Amino acid sequence: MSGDSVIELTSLSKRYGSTAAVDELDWSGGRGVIGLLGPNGAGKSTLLRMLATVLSQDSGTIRVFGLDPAVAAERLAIRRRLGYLPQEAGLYRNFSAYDLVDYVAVLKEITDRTTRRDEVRRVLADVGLTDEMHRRIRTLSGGMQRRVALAAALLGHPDLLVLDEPAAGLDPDQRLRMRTVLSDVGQRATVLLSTHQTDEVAAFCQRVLILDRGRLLFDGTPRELAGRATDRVWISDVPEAGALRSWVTGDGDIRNIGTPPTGATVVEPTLDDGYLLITTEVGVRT
Amino acid sequence: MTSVDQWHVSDHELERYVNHTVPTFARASVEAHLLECDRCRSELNLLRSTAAPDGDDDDVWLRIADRIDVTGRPLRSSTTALRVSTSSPLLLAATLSVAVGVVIGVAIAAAVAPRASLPLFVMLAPLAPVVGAVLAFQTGIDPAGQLAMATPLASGRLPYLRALLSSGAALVAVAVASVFVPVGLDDVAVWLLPGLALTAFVVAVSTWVDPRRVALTLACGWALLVAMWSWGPRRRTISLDLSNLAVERQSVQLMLVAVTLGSAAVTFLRRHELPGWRSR
Repeated sequence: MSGDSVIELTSLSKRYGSTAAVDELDWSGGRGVIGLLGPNGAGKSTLLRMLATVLSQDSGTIRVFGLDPAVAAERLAIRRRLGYLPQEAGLYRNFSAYDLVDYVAVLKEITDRTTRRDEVRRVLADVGLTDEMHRRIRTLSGGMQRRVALAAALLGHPDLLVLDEPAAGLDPDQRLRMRTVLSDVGQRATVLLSTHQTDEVAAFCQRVLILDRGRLLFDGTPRELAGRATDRVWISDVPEAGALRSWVTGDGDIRNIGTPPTGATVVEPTLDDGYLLITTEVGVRT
Repeated sequence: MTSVDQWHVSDHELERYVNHTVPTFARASVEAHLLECDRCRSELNLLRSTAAPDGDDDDVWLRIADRIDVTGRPLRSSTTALRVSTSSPLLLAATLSVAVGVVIGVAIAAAVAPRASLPLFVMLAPLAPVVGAVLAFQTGIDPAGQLAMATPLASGRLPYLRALLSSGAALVAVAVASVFVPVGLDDVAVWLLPGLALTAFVVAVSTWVDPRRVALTLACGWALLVAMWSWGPRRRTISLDLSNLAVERQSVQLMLVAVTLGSAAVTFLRRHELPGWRSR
Protein backbone atom coordinates (compact mmCIF):
# COMPACT_ATOMS: atom_id res chain seq x y z
CA MET A 1 0.00 0.00 0.00
CA SER A 2 1.29 3.44 -0.85
CA GLY A 3 2.39 5.61 2.04
CA ASP A 4 0.45 8.61 0.74
CA SER A 5 -3.14 8.40 1.92
CA VAL A 6 -5.70 9.34 -0.70
CA ILE A 7 -8.59 8.87 1.71
CA GLU A 8 -8.53 9.70 5.41
CA LEU A 9 -11.57 9.20 7.61
CA THR A 10 -11.70 10.25 11.24
CA SER A 11 -14.60 9.30 13.55
CA LEU A 12 -16.87 9.39 10.52
CA SER A 13 -20.55 8.89 11.36
CA LYS A 14 -23.80 9.00 9.46
CA ARG A 15 -27.17 8.13 10.95
CA TYR A 16 -30.57 7.57 9.42
CA GLY A 17 -33.01 8.10 12.28
CA SER A 18 -31.89 5.79 15.08
CA THR A 19 -29.84 3.57 12.76
CA ALA A 20 -26.14 4.23 12.42
CA ALA A 21 -25.22 3.63 8.76
CA VAL A 22 -21.59 4.53 9.42
CA ASP A 23 -20.44 4.49 13.03
CA GLU A 24 -17.30 6.32 14.24
CA LEU A 25 -15.21 5.05 11.35
CA ASP A 26 -11.47 5.68 11.29
CA TRP A 27 -9.63 4.58 8.20
CA SER A 28 -7.09 5.68 5.63
CA GLY A 29 -6.11 4.24 2.29
CA GLY A 30 -3.90 4.91 -0.69
CA ARG A 31 -3.32 3.62 -4.18
CA GLY A 32 -4.52 0.22 -5.34
CA VAL A 33 -7.74 -1.72 -5.59
CA ILE A 34 -9.62 -1.90 -2.31
CA GLY A 35 -12.62 -4.19 -1.91
CA LEU A 36 -15.41 -3.33 0.50
CA LEU A 37 -17.33 -6.37 1.70
CA GLY A 38 -20.29 -6.52 4.01
CA PRO A 39 -23.86 -7.75 4.31
CA ASN A 40 -26.77 -5.72 2.92
CA GLY A 41 -27.39 -2.65 5.06
CA ALA A 42 -23.82 -2.68 6.40
CA GLY A 43 -23.34 0.96 5.39
CA LYS A 44 -21.21 0.32 2.30
CA SER A 45 -23.23 2.55 -0.04
CA THR A 46 -23.49 5.30 2.57
CA LEU A 47 -19.72 5.29 3.02
CA LEU A 48 -19.10 5.30 -0.74
CA ARG A 49 -21.60 8.14 -1.30
CA MET A 50 -19.84 10.24 1.32
CA LEU A 51 -16.48 9.56 -0.36
CA ALA A 52 -18.02 10.45 -3.71
CA THR A 53 -18.92 13.88 -2.26
CA VAL A 54 -22.65 13.43 -2.86
CA LEU A 55 -23.64 12.83 0.76
CA SER A 56 -22.61 14.85 3.80
CA GLN A 57 -21.64 13.23 7.08
CA ASP A 58 -23.26 13.90 10.47
CA SER A 59 -19.96 14.04 12.32
CA GLY A 60 -16.29 13.25 11.85
CA THR A 61 -14.03 14.29 9.02
CA ILE A 62 -13.40 13.13 5.47
CA ARG A 63 -10.26 14.03 3.56
CA VAL A 64 -9.89 13.01 -0.05
CA PHE A 65 -6.53 13.99 -1.59
CA GLY A 66 -6.18 15.99 1.63
CA LEU A 67 -9.25 18.05 0.68
CA ASP A 68 -12.49 18.48 2.62
CA PRO A 69 -15.64 17.69 0.59
CA ALA A 70 -17.69 19.88 2.95
CA VAL A 71 -15.92 22.98 1.57
CA ALA A 72 -17.37 23.96 -1.81
CA ALA A 73 -14.11 24.82 -3.57
CA GLU A 74 -12.38 21.70 -2.24
CA ARG A 75 -15.37 19.55 -3.20
CA LEU A 76 -15.05 20.83 -6.75
CA ALA A 77 -11.33 20.01 -6.72
CA ILE A 78 -12.12 16.47 -5.53
CA ARG A 79 -14.81 15.99 -8.18
CA ARG A 80 -12.28 16.91 -10.87
CA ARG A 81 -10.25 13.85 -9.89
CA LEU A 82 -13.13 11.49 -9.09
CA GLY A 83 -15.05 8.78 -10.92
CA TYR A 84 -18.22 7.52 -9.25
CA LEU A 85 -20.51 4.63 -10.09
CA PRO A 86 -23.65 4.81 -7.94
CA GLN A 87 -25.48 1.66 -6.90
CA GLU A 88 -28.58 2.79 -8.75
CA ALA A 89 -27.20 4.62 -11.74
CA GLY A 90 -30.23 5.90 -13.63
CA LEU A 91 -29.64 6.54 -17.33
CA TYR A 92 -31.50 8.42 -20.06
CA ARG A 93 -33.18 5.56 -21.84
CA ASN A 94 -33.49 7.33 -25.17
CA PHE A 95 -29.84 8.31 -25.35
CA SER A 96 -27.39 6.03 -27.12
CA ALA A 97 -24.61 4.56 -24.98
CA TYR A 98 -22.18 6.92 -26.73
CA ASP A 99 -24.34 10.00 -26.11
CA LEU A 100 -24.83 9.15 -22.45
CA VAL A 101 -21.10 8.77 -21.81
CA ASP A 102 -20.46 11.86 -23.93
CA TYR A 103 -22.92 13.77 -21.74
CA VAL A 104 -21.08 12.73 -18.58
CA ALA A 105 -17.81 13.70 -20.29
CA VAL A 106 -19.25 17.19 -20.76
CA LEU A 107 -20.18 17.25 -17.08
CA LYS A 108 -16.60 16.22 -16.35
CA GLU A 109 -15.37 19.32 -18.19
CA ILE A 110 -13.84 17.47 -21.13
CA THR A 111 -14.70 20.33 -23.45
CA ASP A 112 -12.50 19.71 -26.49
CA ARG A 113 -14.59 17.73 -28.97
CA THR A 114 -11.80 15.57 -30.37
CA THR A 115 -10.42 14.76 -26.95
CA ARG A 116 -13.91 13.98 -25.72
CA ARG A 117 -14.69 11.69 -28.62
CA ASP A 118 -11.46 9.75 -28.16
CA GLU A 119 -12.01 9.52 -24.42
CA VAL A 120 -15.62 8.32 -24.78
CA ARG A 121 -14.45 5.70 -27.29
CA ARG A 122 -11.66 4.60 -24.98
CA VAL A 123 -13.88 4.01 -21.94
CA LEU A 124 -16.59 2.30 -24.00
CA ALA A 125 -13.92 -0.02 -25.40
CA ASP A 126 -12.62 -0.62 -21.87
CA VAL A 127 -16.01 -1.95 -20.81
CA GLY A 128 -16.47 -3.88 -24.06
CA LEU A 129 -19.25 -1.79 -25.57
CA THR A 130 -17.58 -0.65 -28.78
CA ASP A 131 -20.02 -2.60 -30.93
CA GLU A 132 -23.07 -1.41 -29.00
CA MET A 133 -22.11 2.23 -28.55
CA HIS A 134 -24.73 3.59 -30.92
CA ARG A 135 -27.59 1.51 -29.56
CA ARG A 136 -30.15 3.25 -27.40
CA ILE A 137 -29.86 2.57 -23.69
CA ARG A 138 -33.35 1.11 -23.49
CA THR A 139 -32.41 -1.63 -25.96
CA LEU A 140 -29.37 -2.70 -23.90
CA SER A 141 -29.45 -5.50 -21.33
CA GLY A 142 -29.12 -4.74 -17.62
CA GLY A 143 -25.47 -5.79 -17.64
CA MET A 144 -24.72 -3.56 -20.62
CA GLN A 145 -26.45 -0.60 -18.98
CA ARG A 146 -24.31 -1.18 -15.92
CA ARG A 147 -21.22 -1.12 -18.12
CA VAL A 148 -22.33 2.17 -19.69
CA ALA A 149 -22.45 3.69 -16.20
CA LEU A 150 -19.06 2.14 -15.40
CA ALA A 151 -17.63 3.64 -18.59
CA ALA A 152 -18.89 7.04 -17.48
CA ALA A 153 -17.08 6.60 -14.15
CA LEU A 154 -13.81 5.78 -15.96
CA LEU A 155 -13.83 9.02 -17.97
CA GLY A 156 -10.88 11.36 -17.59
CA HIS A 157 -8.49 8.95 -15.82
CA PRO A 158 -9.73 9.70 -12.29
CA ASP A 159 -7.29 9.42 -9.38
CA LEU A 160 -10.07 8.00 -7.21
CA LEU A 161 -12.68 5.58 -8.48
CA VAL A 162 -15.60 4.93 -6.15
CA LEU A 163 -17.66 2.03 -7.46
CA ASP A 164 -20.79 0.77 -5.76
CA GLU A 165 -21.21 -2.86 -6.77
CA PRO A 166 -19.65 -2.53 -10.23
CA ALA A 167 -19.98 -6.27 -10.89
CA ALA A 168 -23.73 -6.42 -10.25
CA GLY A 169 -25.51 -7.86 -13.25
CA LEU A 170 -22.31 -8.68 -15.16
CA ASP A 171 -21.68 -12.16 -16.55
CA PRO A 172 -18.36 -13.90 -15.77
CA ASP A 173 -16.75 -12.72 -19.02
CA GLN A 174 -17.70 -9.13 -18.37
CA ARG A 175 -16.55 -9.36 -14.78
CA LEU A 176 -13.19 -10.61 -15.93
CA ARG A 177 -12.89 -7.67 -18.31
CA MET A 178 -13.91 -5.27 -15.55
CA ARG A 179 -11.31 -6.69 -13.20
CA THR A 180 -8.60 -6.25 -15.79
CA VAL A 181 -9.56 -2.65 -16.45
CA LEU A 182 -9.81 -1.81 -12.76
CA SER A 183 -6.51 -3.56 -12.00
CA ASP A 184 -4.87 -1.34 -14.61
CA VAL A 185 -6.45 1.73 -13.07
CA GLY A 186 -5.39 0.54 -9.62
CA GLN A 187 -1.74 0.67 -10.71
CA ARG A 188 -1.81 4.46 -10.60
CA ALA A 189 -5.02 5.37 -8.79
CA THR A 190 -7.21 4.38 -5.87
CA VAL A 191 -10.13 2.11 -6.70
CA LEU A 192 -12.60 1.56 -3.89
CA LEU A 193 -15.39 -0.85 -4.76
CA SER A 194 -18.13 -2.60 -2.88
CA THR A 195 -18.98 -6.16 -3.74
CA HIS A 196 -20.72 -9.26 -2.49
CA GLN A 197 -18.31 -11.55 -4.31
CA THR A 198 -15.29 -12.76 -2.41
CA ASP A 199 -13.76 -14.08 -5.64
CA GLU A 200 -13.81 -10.48 -6.86
CA VAL A 201 -11.64 -9.63 -3.89
CA ALA A 202 -9.36 -12.62 -4.42
CA ALA A 203 -8.80 -11.89 -8.07
CA PHE A 204 -7.67 -8.30 -7.97
CA CYS A 205 -8.03 -6.44 -4.67
CA GLN A 206 -4.84 -5.60 -2.79
CA ARG A 207 -6.78 -4.72 0.32
CA VAL A 208 -10.13 -5.74 1.69
CA LEU A 209 -12.40 -4.08 4.23
CA ILE A 210 -15.38 -5.67 5.93
CA LEU A 211 -18.07 -3.33 7.10
CA ASP A 212 -20.98 -4.40 9.26
CA ARG A 213 -23.55 -2.10 10.86
CA GLY A 214 -21.36 0.87 10.06
CA ARG A 215 -18.29 -0.49 11.80
CA LEU A 216 -15.07 -1.75 10.31
CA LEU A 217 -14.62 -5.43 11.22
CA PHE A 218 -11.58 -6.18 9.11
CA ASP A 219 -8.90 -4.29 7.21
CA GLY A 220 -6.13 -6.27 5.59
CA THR A 221 -4.99 -8.19 2.53
CA PRO A 222 -7.19 -10.92 1.02
CA ARG A 223 -4.65 -13.46 2.22
CA GLU A 224 -4.97 -12.19 5.77
CA LEU A 225 -8.76 -12.46 5.46
CA ALA A 226 -8.58 -16.12 4.43
CA GLY A 227 -5.92 -16.59 7.12
CA ARG A 228 -8.38 -15.53 9.79
CA ALA A 229 -10.14 -18.86 9.28
CA THR A 230 -6.98 -20.96 9.45
CA ASP A 231 -7.69 -24.06 11.58
CA ARG A 232 -11.30 -22.90 11.94
CA VAL A 233 -12.79 -24.74 8.93
CA TRP A 234 -13.53 -28.44 8.80
CA ILE A 235 -15.45 -30.94 6.77
CA SER A 236 -17.93 -33.41 8.26
CA ASP A 237 -20.60 -35.84 7.11
CA VAL A 238 -23.35 -34.43 9.35
CA PRO A 239 -24.01 -30.85 10.55
CA GLU A 240 -21.94 -30.05 13.64
CA ALA A 241 -23.82 -28.65 16.63
CA GLY A 242 -20.77 -26.72 17.83
CA ALA A 243 -20.12 -24.92 14.53
CA LEU A 244 -20.83 -21.20 14.10
CA ARG A 245 -22.03 -21.87 10.56
CA SER A 246 -22.48 -25.08 8.58
CA TRP A 247 -23.50 -25.53 4.97
CA VAL A 248 -23.61 -28.23 2.35
CA THR A 249 -21.00 -27.76 -0.37
CA GLY A 250 -21.39 -28.65 -4.02
CA ASP A 251 -19.46 -31.86 -3.33
CA GLY A 252 -22.12 -32.99 -0.84
CA ASP A 253 -19.87 -32.47 2.21
CA ILE A 254 -20.82 -30.38 5.19
CA ARG A 255 -18.44 -27.46 5.60
CA ASN A 256 -18.25 -25.95 9.09
CA ILE A 257 -16.65 -22.84 10.52
CA GLY A 258 -16.01 -22.23 14.19
CA THR A 259 -13.91 -24.19 16.65
CA PRO A 260 -13.39 -27.69 15.23
CA PRO A 261 -13.81 -30.68 17.52
CA THR A 262 -10.83 -32.94 18.20
CA GLY A 263 -9.99 -35.16 15.27
CA ALA A 264 -11.99 -33.09 12.77
CA THR A 265 -10.83 -32.91 9.14
CA VAL A 266 -9.52 -29.34 9.11
CA VAL A 267 -9.23 -27.87 5.60
CA GLU A 268 -7.58 -24.88 3.99
CA PRO A 269 -9.78 -21.80 4.40
CA THR A 270 -11.15 -19.69 1.55
CA LEU A 271 -11.96 -15.98 1.59
CA ASP A 272 -15.61 -16.94 1.98
CA ASP A 273 -14.70 -18.81 5.18
CA GLY A 274 -12.77 -15.83 6.54
CA TYR A 275 -15.60 -13.45 5.69
CA LEU A 276 -18.30 -15.69 7.16
CA LEU A 277 -16.28 -16.32 10.31
CA ILE A 278 -15.71 -12.61 10.97
CA THR A 279 -19.29 -11.52 10.29
CA THR A 280 -20.82 -14.47 12.16
CA GLU A 281 -18.61 -14.00 15.21
CA VAL A 282 -19.67 -10.37 15.44
CA GLY A 283 -23.33 -11.38 15.03
CA VAL A 284 -22.98 -13.87 17.89
CA ARG A 285 -21.30 -11.31 20.16
CA THR A 286 -23.96 -8.61 19.71
CA MET B 1 7.19 -20.17 -1.48
CA THR B 2 8.55 -23.19 -3.35
CA SER B 3 5.18 -24.69 -4.17
CA VAL B 4 4.13 -21.48 -5.90
CA ASP B 5 7.22 -21.53 -8.11
CA GLN B 6 6.66 -25.11 -9.15
CA TRP B 7 3.15 -25.12 -10.56
CA HIS B 8 0.61 -22.70 -11.96
CA VAL B 9 -3.13 -22.72 -12.32
CA SER B 10 -4.16 -23.82 -15.82
CA ASP B 11 -6.30 -21.53 -18.01
CA HIS B 12 -9.06 -24.07 -17.75
CA GLU B 13 -8.94 -24.00 -13.95
CA LEU B 14 -8.82 -20.19 -13.97
CA GLU B 15 -11.95 -20.06 -16.08
CA ARG B 16 -13.64 -22.53 -13.79
CA TYR B 17 -12.61 -20.45 -10.77
CA VAL B 18 -14.16 -17.36 -12.34
CA ASN B 19 -17.29 -19.25 -13.31
CA HIS B 20 -17.67 -20.72 -9.82
CA THR B 21 -17.42 -24.24 -11.18
CA VAL B 22 -14.29 -25.23 -9.27
CA PRO B 23 -15.14 -27.78 -6.54
CA THR B 24 -14.97 -26.24 -3.08
CA PHE B 25 -11.85 -28.13 -2.04
CA ALA B 26 -9.95 -27.00 -5.13
CA ARG B 27 -11.25 -23.46 -4.89
CA ALA B 28 -9.30 -22.82 -1.70
CA SER B 29 -6.09 -23.99 -3.25
CA VAL B 30 -6.61 -22.01 -6.50
CA GLU B 31 -7.41 -18.95 -4.41
CA ALA B 32 -4.39 -19.40 -2.17
CA HIS B 33 -2.19 -19.75 -5.24
CA LEU B 34 -3.68 -16.69 -6.95
CA LEU B 35 -2.96 -14.60 -3.88
CA GLU B 36 0.68 -15.66 -3.99
CA CYS B 37 1.41 -15.84 -7.69
CA ASP B 38 1.74 -12.76 -9.90
CA ARG B 39 2.06 -14.90 -13.01
CA CYS B 40 -1.35 -16.52 -12.55
CA ARG B 41 -2.94 -13.20 -11.75
CA SER B 42 -1.61 -11.80 -15.01
CA GLU B 43 -2.91 -14.91 -16.77
CA LEU B 44 -6.33 -13.82 -15.60
CA ASN B 45 -5.76 -10.46 -17.27
CA LEU B 46 -4.50 -12.09 -20.47
CA LEU B 47 -7.74 -14.03 -20.84
CA ARG B 48 -9.45 -10.70 -21.36
CA SER B 49 -7.17 -9.32 -24.06
CA THR B 50 -7.70 -12.37 -26.27
CA ALA B 51 -11.45 -11.93 -25.95
CA ALA B 52 -11.49 -8.32 -27.13
CA PRO B 53 -9.97 -7.66 -30.53
CA ASP B 54 -9.84 -3.92 -31.18
CA GLY B 55 -8.40 -3.74 -34.67
CA ASP B 56 -7.57 -0.64 -36.69
CA ASP B 57 -10.14 -1.63 -39.32
CA ASP B 58 -12.86 -1.45 -36.71
CA ASP B 59 -11.75 2.00 -35.75
CA VAL B 60 -11.90 3.26 -39.35
CA TRP B 61 -15.44 1.97 -39.74
CA LEU B 62 -16.48 3.52 -36.45
CA ARG B 63 -15.12 6.88 -37.48
CA ILE B 64 -17.04 6.68 -40.76
CA ALA B 65 -20.19 5.66 -38.87
CA ASP B 66 -19.65 8.59 -36.54
CA ARG B 67 -19.43 11.04 -39.46
CA ILE B 68 -22.70 9.75 -40.89
CA ASP B 69 -24.26 9.92 -37.45
CA VAL B 70 -23.37 13.56 -36.92
CA THR B 71 -25.12 14.70 -40.09
CA GLY B 72 -28.18 12.70 -39.10
CA ARG B 73 -28.47 14.24 -35.67
CA PRO B 74 -28.98 17.99 -35.52
CA LEU B 75 -29.08 17.86 -31.71
CA ARG B 76 -25.50 16.58 -31.62
CA SER B 77 -24.27 19.86 -33.10
CA SER B 78 -26.12 22.07 -30.64
CA THR B 79 -24.13 23.78 -27.97
CA THR B 80 -22.81 21.92 -25.00
CA ALA B 81 -24.70 24.18 -22.63
CA LEU B 82 -28.04 23.45 -24.22
CA ARG B 83 -27.38 19.71 -24.35
CA VAL B 84 -26.47 19.57 -20.72
CA SER B 85 -29.39 21.67 -19.62
CA THR B 86 -31.96 19.82 -21.71
CA SER B 87 -30.66 16.42 -20.77
CA SER B 88 -33.31 15.77 -18.15
CA PRO B 89 -36.49 14.76 -19.98
CA LEU B 90 -38.41 14.87 -16.69
CA LEU B 91 -37.36 18.44 -16.01
CA LEU B 92 -38.32 19.50 -19.51
CA ALA B 93 -41.70 17.79 -19.15
CA ALA B 94 -42.29 19.39 -15.74
CA THR B 95 -41.32 22.85 -17.00
CA LEU B 96 -43.51 22.52 -20.06
CA SER B 97 -46.41 21.41 -17.83
CA VAL B 98 -46.01 24.52 -15.69
CA ALA B 99 -45.85 26.72 -18.78
CA VAL B 100 -48.82 25.11 -20.49
CA GLY B 101 -50.72 25.20 -17.17
CA VAL B 102 -50.24 28.96 -16.91
CA VAL B 103 -51.43 29.55 -20.49
CA ILE B 104 -54.49 27.30 -20.14
CA GLY B 105 -55.35 28.64 -16.65
CA VAL B 106 -55.25 32.27 -17.78
CA ALA B 107 -57.12 31.49 -21.01
CA ILE B 108 -59.92 29.76 -19.09
CA ALA B 109 -60.08 32.59 -16.55
CA ALA B 110 -60.31 35.13 -19.39
CA ALA B 111 -63.19 33.20 -20.95
CA VAL B 112 -65.14 32.43 -17.76
CA ALA B 113 -64.51 35.51 -15.62
CA PRO B 114 -62.93 38.25 -17.71
CA ARG B 115 -62.61 40.68 -14.81
CA ALA B 116 -60.72 38.17 -12.68
CA SER B 117 -58.32 37.26 -15.45
CA LEU B 118 -55.96 40.20 -14.94
CA PRO B 119 -55.50 39.72 -11.16
CA LEU B 120 -55.07 36.00 -11.73
CA PHE B 121 -52.50 36.64 -14.44
CA VAL B 122 -50.51 39.07 -12.34
CA MET B 123 -50.68 36.62 -9.47
CA LEU B 124 -49.46 33.59 -11.46
CA ALA B 125 -47.18 35.07 -14.10
CA PRO B 126 -44.19 35.91 -11.86
CA LEU B 127 -44.51 32.56 -10.07
CA ALA B 128 -44.18 30.41 -13.20
CA PRO B 129 -40.42 31.06 -13.64
CA VAL B 130 -39.95 30.55 -9.89
CA VAL B 131 -41.48 27.07 -10.16
CA GLY B 132 -39.29 26.38 -13.20
CA ALA B 133 -36.14 27.37 -11.28
CA VAL B 134 -37.08 25.35 -8.19
CA LEU B 135 -37.69 22.25 -10.32
CA ALA B 136 -34.24 22.61 -11.85
CA PHE B 137 -32.61 22.26 -8.44
CA GLN B 138 -34.29 18.97 -7.61
CA THR B 139 -31.84 16.14 -8.24
CA GLY B 140 -34.66 13.59 -8.10
CA ILE B 141 -36.15 15.01 -11.28
CA ASP B 142 -33.11 13.85 -13.25
CA PRO B 143 -33.01 10.08 -13.93
CA ALA B 144 -29.23 10.24 -14.28
CA GLY B 145 -28.92 12.66 -11.36
CA GLN B 146 -26.90 10.21 -9.27
CA LEU B 147 -24.41 9.84 -12.08
CA ALA B 148 -24.20 13.59 -12.62
CA MET B 149 -23.96 14.63 -8.98
CA ALA B 150 -20.34 13.68 -8.45
CA THR B 151 -19.08 15.58 -11.52
CA PRO B 152 -17.44 19.02 -11.46
CA LEU B 153 -20.19 20.65 -13.51
CA ALA B 154 -22.81 19.48 -11.01
CA SER B 155 -20.95 21.62 -8.48
CA GLY B 156 -22.05 24.70 -10.38
CA ARG B 157 -23.03 25.20 -13.95
CA LEU B 158 -25.41 22.28 -14.53
CA PRO B 159 -28.21 23.22 -12.10
CA TYR B 160 -27.93 26.92 -13.03
CA LEU B 161 -28.11 26.18 -16.74
CA ARG B 162 -31.18 24.08 -16.10
CA ALA B 163 -32.74 26.79 -13.92
CA LEU B 164 -32.10 29.31 -16.70
CA LEU B 165 -33.69 27.05 -19.27
CA SER B 166 -36.75 26.05 -17.25
CA SER B 167 -37.50 29.53 -15.92
CA GLY B 168 -36.89 30.95 -19.41
CA ALA B 169 -39.40 28.48 -20.87
CA ALA B 170 -41.91 29.50 -18.19
CA LEU B 171 -41.41 33.19 -19.02
CA VAL B 172 -42.05 32.53 -22.72
CA ALA B 173 -45.25 30.70 -21.78
CA VAL B 174 -46.35 33.63 -19.63
CA ALA B 175 -45.70 36.04 -22.52
CA VAL B 176 -47.94 33.83 -24.68
CA ALA B 177 -50.62 33.75 -21.96
CA SER B 178 -50.58 37.57 -21.73
CA VAL B 179 -52.42 37.62 -25.07
CA PHE B 180 -55.57 36.54 -23.23
CA VAL B 181 -55.57 39.34 -20.67
CA PRO B 182 -55.83 43.14 -20.92
CA VAL B 183 -52.17 43.71 -20.31
CA GLY B 184 -50.26 45.52 -22.98
CA LEU B 185 -46.61 45.49 -23.92
CA ASP B 186 -46.13 48.65 -21.89
CA ASP B 187 -47.31 46.80 -18.81
CA VAL B 188 -44.73 44.06 -19.19
CA ALA B 189 -42.90 45.37 -16.11
CA VAL B 190 -45.93 44.47 -13.99
CA TRP B 191 -45.25 40.76 -14.25
CA LEU B 192 -41.77 40.49 -15.73
CA LEU B 193 -39.87 42.49 -13.11
CA PRO B 194 -41.46 40.73 -10.10
CA GLY B 195 -40.97 37.42 -11.92
CA LEU B 196 -37.27 38.06 -12.49
CA ALA B 197 -36.74 39.38 -8.96
CA LEU B 198 -38.52 36.45 -7.30
CA THR B 199 -36.72 33.88 -9.46
CA ALA B 200 -33.30 35.44 -8.96
CA PHE B 201 -33.91 35.65 -5.22
CA VAL B 202 -34.97 32.00 -4.98
CA VAL B 203 -31.91 30.88 -6.98
CA ALA B 204 -29.63 32.92 -4.71
CA VAL B 205 -31.27 31.42 -1.61
CA SER B 206 -30.73 27.93 -3.01
CA THR B 207 -27.00 28.34 -2.40
CA TRP B 208 -27.81 28.17 1.33
CA VAL B 209 -30.91 26.02 1.72
CA ASP B 210 -33.35 23.90 -0.26
CA PRO B 211 -35.23 26.58 -2.24
CA ARG B 212 -38.64 24.88 -2.12
CA ARG B 213 -39.76 26.30 1.22
CA VAL B 214 -38.49 29.79 0.41
CA ALA B 215 -40.22 29.68 -2.97
CA LEU B 216 -43.48 28.58 -1.38
CA THR B 217 -43.32 31.38 1.20
CA LEU B 218 -42.56 33.98 -1.47
CA ALA B 219 -45.32 32.65 -3.71
CA CYS B 220 -47.89 32.87 -0.91
CA GLY B 221 -46.69 36.37 -0.04
CA TRP B 222 -46.92 37.55 -3.65
CA ALA B 223 -50.37 35.99 -4.14
CA LEU B 224 -51.61 37.67 -0.95
CA LEU B 225 -50.20 41.01 -2.05
CA VAL B 226 -51.92 40.83 -5.44
CA ALA B 227 -55.15 39.65 -3.76
CA MET B 228 -55.00 42.61 -1.40
CA TRP B 229 -54.55 45.04 -4.29
CA SER B 230 -57.39 43.42 -6.20
CA TRP B 231 -59.91 42.61 -3.49
CA GLY B 232 -59.08 45.40 -1.04
CA PRO B 233 -61.85 46.40 1.41
CA ARG B 234 -62.56 49.66 -0.43
CA ARG B 235 -62.97 48.00 -3.80
CA ARG B 236 -65.74 45.44 -3.31
CA THR B 237 -65.23 44.38 -6.88
CA ILE B 238 -62.48 42.37 -8.45
CA SER B 239 -60.26 44.77 -10.26
CA LEU B 240 -56.63 45.60 -10.48
CA ASP B 241 -55.22 49.00 -11.16
CA LEU B 242 -51.97 48.30 -12.92
CA SER B 243 -50.69 51.76 -12.15
CA ASN B 244 -50.80 50.82 -8.48
CA LEU B 245 -48.32 48.10 -9.09
CA ALA B 246 -45.12 48.97 -10.74
CA VAL B 247 -45.62 50.71 -14.03
CA GLU B 248 -45.63 54.25 -12.77
CA ARG B 249 -43.68 53.66 -9.63
CA GLN B 250 -40.08 53.92 -10.57
CA SER B 251 -38.93 53.33 -7.03
CA VAL B 252 -40.64 49.91 -7.03
CA GLN B 253 -39.15 49.07 -10.40
CA LEU B 254 -35.70 50.12 -9.29
CA MET B 255 -36.05 48.02 -6.17
CA LEU B 256 -37.03 44.96 -8.22
CA VAL B 257 -34.11 45.48 -10.59
CA ALA B 258 -31.80 45.85 -7.60
CA VAL B 259 -33.10 42.59 -6.07
CA THR B 260 -32.58 40.80 -9.39
CA LEU B 261 -29.04 42.07 -9.90
CA GLY B 262 -28.10 41.63 -6.24
CA SER B 263 -29.39 38.05 -6.21
CA ALA B 264 -27.55 37.29 -9.45
CA ALA B 265 -24.32 38.62 -7.92
CA VAL B 266 -24.81 36.52 -4.76
CA THR B 267 -25.53 33.45 -6.90
CA PHE B 268 -22.38 34.00 -8.92
CA LEU B 269 -20.21 34.38 -5.84
CA ARG B 270 -21.71 31.31 -4.15
CA ARG B 271 -22.24 29.25 -7.30
CA HIS B 272 -20.36 26.21 -5.99
CA GLU B 273 -22.26 25.96 -2.70
CA LEU B 274 -25.65 24.46 -3.67
CA PRO B 275 -26.45 22.23 -0.69
CA GLY B 276 -29.42 20.84 -2.58
CA TRP B 277 -26.99 19.04 -4.88
CA ARG B 278 -25.60 17.13 -1.98
CA SER B 279 -27.88 14.95 0.09
CA ARG B 280 -28.06 15.47 3.83
